[in-house]
This record gives sequence, C-alpha cells and structure tokens, in this order.
Amino acid sequence: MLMDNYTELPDLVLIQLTKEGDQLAFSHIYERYWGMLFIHARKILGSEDEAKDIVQNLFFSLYTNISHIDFKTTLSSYLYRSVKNMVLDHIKHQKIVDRYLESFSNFSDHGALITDQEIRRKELEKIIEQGIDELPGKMKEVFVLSRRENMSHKEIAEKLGITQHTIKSQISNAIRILRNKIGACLMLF
Amino acid sequence: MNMEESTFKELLQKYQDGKCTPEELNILENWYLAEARKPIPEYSETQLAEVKTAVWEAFSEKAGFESQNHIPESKTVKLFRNLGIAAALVVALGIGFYFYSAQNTKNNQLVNQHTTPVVPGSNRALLTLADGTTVALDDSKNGELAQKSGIQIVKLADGQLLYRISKSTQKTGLEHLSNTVQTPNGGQYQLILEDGTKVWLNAASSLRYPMAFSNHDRVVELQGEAYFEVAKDKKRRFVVKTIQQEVAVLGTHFNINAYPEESSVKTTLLEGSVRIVQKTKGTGATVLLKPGQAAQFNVDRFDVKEVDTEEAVAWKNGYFVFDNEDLKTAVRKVARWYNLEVVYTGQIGAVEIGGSVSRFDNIDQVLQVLRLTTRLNFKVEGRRLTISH
Repeated sequence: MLMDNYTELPDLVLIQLTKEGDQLAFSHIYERYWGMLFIHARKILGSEDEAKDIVQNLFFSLYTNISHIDFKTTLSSYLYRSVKNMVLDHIKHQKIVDRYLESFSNFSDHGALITDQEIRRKELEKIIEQGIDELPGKMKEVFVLSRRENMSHKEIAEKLGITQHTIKSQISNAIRILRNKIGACLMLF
Repeated sequence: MNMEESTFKELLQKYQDGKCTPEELNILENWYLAEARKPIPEYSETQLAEVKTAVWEAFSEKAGFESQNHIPESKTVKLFRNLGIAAALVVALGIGFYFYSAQNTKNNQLVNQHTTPVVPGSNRALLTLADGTTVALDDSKNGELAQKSGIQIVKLADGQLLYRISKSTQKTGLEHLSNTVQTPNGGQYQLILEDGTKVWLNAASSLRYPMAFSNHDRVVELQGEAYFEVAKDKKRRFVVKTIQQEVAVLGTHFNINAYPEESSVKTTLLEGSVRIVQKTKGTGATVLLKPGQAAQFNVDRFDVKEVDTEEAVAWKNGYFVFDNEDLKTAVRKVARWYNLEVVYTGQIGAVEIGGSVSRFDNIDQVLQVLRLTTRLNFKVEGRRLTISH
C-alpha cells in the first residue's frame, strides 16, 4: 500500500527522490504532467508527431538536468515555461514557420494585448492547466490528486502561520532524519 | 502589414536569445496565448493512452531507464524509504489537521445555533456596454465576451476583464463610449483597464470608465469601494471621480471607500502619491497624501491620519479587519458582503469593534468576532441580521 504512495507526494519530494536516483519517482512526474503538456503542444503545432517529440524532449531535458535546475517557483511553472520555449523554438524551423506566418501577421495587425508580462505568464499557466479537462477521468485524477497534496501544504502553512517554503524544508528535513534512522535499522538487519 | 517569413523567424530567434524588446515580447507572447486558446481535435481515451505509452517508451529508452515499465517494482529498500516519507508526511499533515479540525469544531458549534444558510460573496458583476448591452460576469465562461467598435472584451481564466484594442481602431471617439462594471451585494470583481491599471471592485459598487482613455487624461467614476493599482503614465494623470471628490494620480496604489451610505469618502494611499480635491463643501479644498496616510473630509477640511493600510485593503485580500471601527460601519461591510438586511432593536450607542476574520468564513464566524468585542446579540433569520442588547 505505502509503496504506491508516490501519487500522493508533492512535486518537490518527487524531484528530490529523482535526484537521488529514483526513476520511479520520475515516472510519477511524467504521469502528472505529460497530458496537459501534450495537449498544449498539440494545440499549437497541430501535429501529433511534433507534439510527441516536444513532450519527450522536455522530459528528457528535465531528467538529465534535474540536479542543475533551479526550480525558482514550482515544477509546474518550470514545465509550462519550458514547453512554451520548446514550441516556439520548434516553430522557428524552416517549413514549420510558414504555417504560422498568416496567423501571426493577422494577429500583429490586430494588435493587442495583455501588456503585463506577469499576467501573461499566469494566463498561459491557466490555459495549459485547463488542458487536463480534455483528459479522460483517470488521467485527470492523477493531476488533481497531486494538486490536492500540494494544496495541503499551503493550507498547513496558512494554519500554522509559516511560509510554504518552511513547510517544505521541514518535510525534507524530516525525510532526511527518518531516512538516516531507517538506514541505521537496515544496517542492523 | 505583411509579416515576412524572415521577420518572423528573426523575431523567434531574438526571443530565444532573450533579445526581444518589450513591444516584441508583447506581440509574440500574446499571439502565443491566442494560439494556445485554440480547440484541439478530440482524442479518445485509447488514443491518449497510446500517446502516453509511446512518449514514455521513447523517453525511457533514451534516458536509459532500468525498466521500460513504470509500474512500481517491489524493493525492500524502497518500501522502507517510502515508509519514511509517509511518516514524515503524516507528522506534517497531522499538525495541519489538528489545527484544521480544532477550528472546524468551533465552526460547527456556531453553525448549530441556526440553520439558514447565509453564504459569503463571490466573483460576480454585471458589465454594461456603451450601447446598453449587459453581460453577466461570473466564474463560469472565459474568453471573448463581446466585440464592439473594434474592441475585444476578453475574460481571462481568473475572471479578470481585459480590453483589447486593435491597432487599426480609431482611438478617437472611444473615450466617449463608457462601460460600467457593477457588483451586487455579495459580489466583487477585478478588472484591467485598457492602460493596464488594475481595479478591484468591492461589493455593491460600480465603476464607469471609457473603452479607451483619451490622450491627455484617464478618468473613471466610482461609487462604492475599489482598490486601484494605477499603471504608470507620466503624461496622463489618472482621475477617480466620486460624488464628493476627485482623486488624481500619475501611477500608484490606493483604496477609495465611497459608499453613498458612509458619511464621507475615505482614501487610503499605499504607494506613490495622490491629490484629492473636494468638490462639494469647502469649494475646492485639496490635500496631498503620502504613503501610509488616509484622508476623510470632515465638515470643512480634510482629516489626514497615519493608518494601517492593511486594514483598508483587507477586503481585497479576503479579510474583514476592524481596528476599533464604529459598529455600524463594520456591520455595513459585513452586510454588503453577505447580502444581509440589518435591523437594530433598542438603543445602541457608540460601540467600537476590533478583530479580524476571513471574508470567506461562515457568517457565524464573522458575527462571533462582533459578539466578542461588543457583548451585543447578533441573530440571523433568513436574510435579516438583528442586533440587540
């Protein structure tokens, strides 16, 4: 039972476990995010194969760089920012860029706009997350469950009047201490 | 304008190199948002499952994963490690749950005193366009609400309203077309004006503003209460007109409480500077506020005080904060948000209220704060709140 509890773990704990070489933890990060990242890339690129490549490359880059990435805010923000950059980078390619010329030139004529970069970022994050509504029940559930877990951190933090950062560092300290103890127990076996 | 292929490619390259100007970023990122809002052809559950497996397999092969399969394997070490994590989480969640349930028990005891559900307010408002068309705003649908005179009115995912003006649209004349956003009792709303100014509108309030501001100033009219984060524009001052006053700024954060039922308009400044001009009595009395100050017009002059600005904008952050506030003023705030009618029975003199409580709590939680500091009786029946000795 407890072995399956990865689904309940907050993103940052999964990242910590991945850094320590736990591939299973990484597969749960994939479980959580692949769906909406795929849907987002598929929307913009209009091609399933291209969207699949983007998602695969994104997870590969996350996995290989996980020790060096500074998750300034959250894993989700990092992923949403990365998928946007990768999609735009992909569009830049010859042959693909042609598909967007008309749409872009119409748009820049129409003008526009959310002028605040921060609001644009938040809006994009929301749009990407709304993509989970297009996933079937079970796939959606995985993400919603993990959000609830992430939420509970926030709630605990609010109830205790401390920052989420403190909660997270307390949890990771607790994990480290318990792990050392368990390590010692295993040695005795 | 026809966007040449090379120009678009150059822009994408600049984006990648982080060399875009703010204007270029603005266009590119907004275009991207528009693309991201497009619908996607339907995928069946099986199709999605296939995509999921295919991508995972390609990834795990490339990354050299031990197993192509990501179903949990059983390893004793892993079990113990997870037990460790689980234990740590149980400790943390346990603490949280203790606090949560302790509070809940308190809530339940209060709820049991009566059964009528009185719910706190939510994001609700009515938008009236220049031609009289009305659009109900709530948390349900997002995207384009209306397209009028070359202006697209878009509701963002978090409920904010955004005005998007096409470049080809003649800006002249638009300043004469006003829109009004009006919140009912128990409603609040947040909007972003055409210049980027953000406005939070409290319950039972209305804001009237032009579709586009003119070249020399930015004028809006307020009734009720609003918090403004005015976009900086040194050339065009931002003016909020209320029945009694005009508040003029260049770019700053401030709160105006101008409900008709309150004795005078109260302006609280958080950042920057504002100039207030009284229009009614005192013919043109004026005052300049510094951050941390609040001004109220009293008989014939402005009363300026150093205040706790948190208190003035507590409503926007989801709280009622009463710092020795007059009972009736405090009760009016609560009644506007929970949509209650207030009845006082018997003589109730000057009473001051202190305390703070979430605006999203059960009404009893809020009334409990009032009870504690006043020793008065507060009773809710239907939509009526009766206050007595």
